[in-house]
Amino acid sequence: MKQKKFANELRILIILISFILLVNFISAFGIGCAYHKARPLEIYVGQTENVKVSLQNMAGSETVTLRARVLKGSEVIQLADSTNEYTVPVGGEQIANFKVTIPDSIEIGTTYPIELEFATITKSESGTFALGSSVGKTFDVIIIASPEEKKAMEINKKIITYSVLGVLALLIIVIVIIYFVKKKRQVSKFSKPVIKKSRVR
Amino acid sequence: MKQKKTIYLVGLLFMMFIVLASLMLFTNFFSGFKSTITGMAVDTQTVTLNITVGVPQIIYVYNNSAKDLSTGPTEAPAITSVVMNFSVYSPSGAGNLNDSTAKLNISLAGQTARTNASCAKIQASGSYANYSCNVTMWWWDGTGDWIVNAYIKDNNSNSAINTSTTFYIGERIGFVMSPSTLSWTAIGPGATNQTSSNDPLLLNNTGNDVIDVDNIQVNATNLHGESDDAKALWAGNFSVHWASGGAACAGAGCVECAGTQMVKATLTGVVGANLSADNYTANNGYQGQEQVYLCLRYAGTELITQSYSTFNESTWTVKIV
Repeated sequence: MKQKKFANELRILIILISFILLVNFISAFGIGCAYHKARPLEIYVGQTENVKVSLQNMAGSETVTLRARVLKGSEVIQLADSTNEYTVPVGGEQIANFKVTIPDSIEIGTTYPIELEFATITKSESGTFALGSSVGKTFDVIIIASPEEKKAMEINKKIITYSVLGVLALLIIVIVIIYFVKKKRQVSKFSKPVIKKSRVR
Repeated sequence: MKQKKTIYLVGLLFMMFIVLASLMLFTNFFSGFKSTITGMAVDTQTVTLNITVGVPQIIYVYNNSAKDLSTGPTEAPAITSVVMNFSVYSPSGAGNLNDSTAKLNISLAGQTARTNASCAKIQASGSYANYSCNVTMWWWDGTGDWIVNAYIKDNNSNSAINTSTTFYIGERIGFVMSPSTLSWTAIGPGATNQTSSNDPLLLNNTGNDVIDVDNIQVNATNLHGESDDAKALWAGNFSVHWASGGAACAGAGCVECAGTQMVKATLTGVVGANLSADNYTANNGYQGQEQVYLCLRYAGTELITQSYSTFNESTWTVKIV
């Protein structure tokens, strides 16, 4: 009985020891970008845009190694650097470059939700409960008309406007002509008998 | 007909009277009349006449910072120095500008304006002078087009303001967690609602992005035994909560253990947890801070004495979006 109690206590003690120092080093970092949910990247078909993401390690106490991934929108955005791993020293900054390319077949007004992720590469050691950190970056890519397309659209708009105005003007002229012709006919209709009458006299 | 003419005449006379009365009221007509008749002045007044050739103008405001802020302010705890210069044209000469009044503030709706009330004169020649203003921005200063407001007065109290310049600050998302280690007191097989003895896990927002409710996520994995990896502390037996039930939290009524249940290898939003963009150094638990509590809801009765860790599976991850 005494032996069993001792075994139980030992078990608890050993499990307790296993849990101490469960979490090892926790890294910290911040990512910065010009685009976000309220400020989408507007781009036109055929255009290529470089999206810069700043990686900083100001609050950490050790160098961090980050792995970049595109979680959403990989059909339009790709990592432009030769590696997807970035080492950021304490107090330092690295720039991750992404390239946004819009294929020709995309319609104006299409929206691509983008999600980028930067996560620490954390090694899990024996006896530890390793905890890493990760930051997600979301923004939209919206397809807009190119300057040439905008110009062409404006010209088309002008042509339509002028055409409508021309037709209206023509219509007004026709109405006016019809009105005067009718009026003239009416006048001649009433005046003829008067002339006849005078001739009779 | 005659009656109509009389009405017009009376109307005309009435209007003339109104005009004359107005003139008398607003032009000191009576005092002038009195001085003309009597030769006596009504009162004596001292008049100071300041003649300024022209009021100063701030003709150019530009950002002279070395740092590109389009990717957001510098991560905490560092500050961001924004150097803005402005040029002033003073028709009465640069020497007539009151240097001590040169100031500049940067503002954005909903944000605290950042000001330098003592900009330095860096150059002056003829009618032109240049001033430089170093404005301190903080990591929680929000994203958007900040309006630059440059201001100066001359020695005749003529002021010049220029608000035509804006500059964009991007968005930075970042956080730091502490403590670096968590520990539990005695846990035996079959134990329930065991909270960490040194939590909460404190998250500080080191950027200017507001992390909305449920956007603090945890990706949990099983903690397998290192000798017998068939036995484990399963991810689904852990929970994370932003609320605490006190230091002696244990048992069925434990608030800390009523949090969000973890799901293996899935980013799970901690319900109710968020991070405001603010000065976390105030250290009051809510300004730019969030506290989360980890709980082991159940340790299986089958567990044996061995080390349980993330060594045989991937690490846990805390993510902000």
